[in-house]
Amino acid sequence: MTRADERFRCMGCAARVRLESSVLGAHELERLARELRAALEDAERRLTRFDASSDLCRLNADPREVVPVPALVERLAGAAAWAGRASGGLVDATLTGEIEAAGYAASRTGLAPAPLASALATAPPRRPARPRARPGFTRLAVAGDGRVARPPGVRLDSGGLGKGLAADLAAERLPDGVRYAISVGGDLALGGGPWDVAVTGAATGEEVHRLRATGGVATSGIHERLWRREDGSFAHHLLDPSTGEPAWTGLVSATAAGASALGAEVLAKTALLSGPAGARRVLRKGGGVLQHEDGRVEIVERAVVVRLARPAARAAA
Amino acid sequence: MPTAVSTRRLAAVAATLFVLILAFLAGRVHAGADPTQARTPASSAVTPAPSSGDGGHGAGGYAPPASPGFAPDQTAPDPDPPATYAS
Repeated sequence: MTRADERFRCMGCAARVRLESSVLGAHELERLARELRAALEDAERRLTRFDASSDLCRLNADPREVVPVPALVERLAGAAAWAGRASGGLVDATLTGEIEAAGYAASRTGLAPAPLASALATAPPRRPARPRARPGFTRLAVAGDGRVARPPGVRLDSGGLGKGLAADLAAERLPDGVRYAISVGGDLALGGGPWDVAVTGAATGEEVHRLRATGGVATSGIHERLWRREDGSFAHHLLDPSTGEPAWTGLVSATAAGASALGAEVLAKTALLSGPAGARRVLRKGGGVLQHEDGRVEIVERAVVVRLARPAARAAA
Repeated sequence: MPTAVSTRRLAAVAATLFVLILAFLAGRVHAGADPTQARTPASSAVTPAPSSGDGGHGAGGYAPPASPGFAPDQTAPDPDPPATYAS
């Protein structure tokens, strides 16, 4: 068994490419790891909203209704539309103006987060987030022909969707026979067999649980990108679409297992925005971990699904 | 015919038992448990918040609980597994 393990910074976060193979040699595996790193760094350059020359910013600034875009931006737009629908409107990647107004207009790389305990002590009453009446993602159209249609002014924020998507697209580049765990800021694309994934505690920074998963695992939380506004109130980057303000739901973080890194990211964010009761329902299918404001760590087990083969399926088999 | 009555009674008892067992298993599945995983708890597990100063996840002494639903690995645990965290 040969292994490659590449660690680097990407999208303002820690990234890691871990590969294992029993058919490829060490040099080939290391070359693949470097190739994936380059692909992730390229995705970062294209999808950042903090560089006016990025592909994403050019789309956001374009005054035309229909805009030709590179394939990666088209995939992001498609992911944004899908995530909005799949989450019932809670994961809304078109809240770019709102996140800027909340105080996140520039990269926070290198900035320490504000103290979580102080933020929780002064936060508004807790409640689940709700979708917007007319969300921007419903006005996104991606036909797969290299163009994105949306009303000018509807701007996309790559955020967590960009991390999950980048990890999944990197995984697509790998040949058969490679077991992989590709992490971008804690959003993991997992394949080639199940992986044990350490879930990091929001309060301690230490491992609080270990999930076994394949496909994807992601965590969404309010404690890492947390800041104090000029008026003294605290804000973070996970917004309640109905208000455009940071969502305080009673959860500090939610970890989800899904079919892909992008799918897990959408589940994790939906769970966090839904509050504890809704989060349990969201995580029931694939399992996950909830971290409450009081420090409790709640393991949500996967529900058992019993599938009965249909006669037609049996006959076809 | 005594034999026919006996056969009918046997069939009735077997059918009743079958229905009872099926209802029990359906109840377990509905509650979220996997009947094939004996002794698996049906509800979510909650770890209390670590009290300050007790070393909650003490260095070297903490073994994270494994997710149910998977057979345990025969190999040693990964000392540096991929990690998920908020970012």
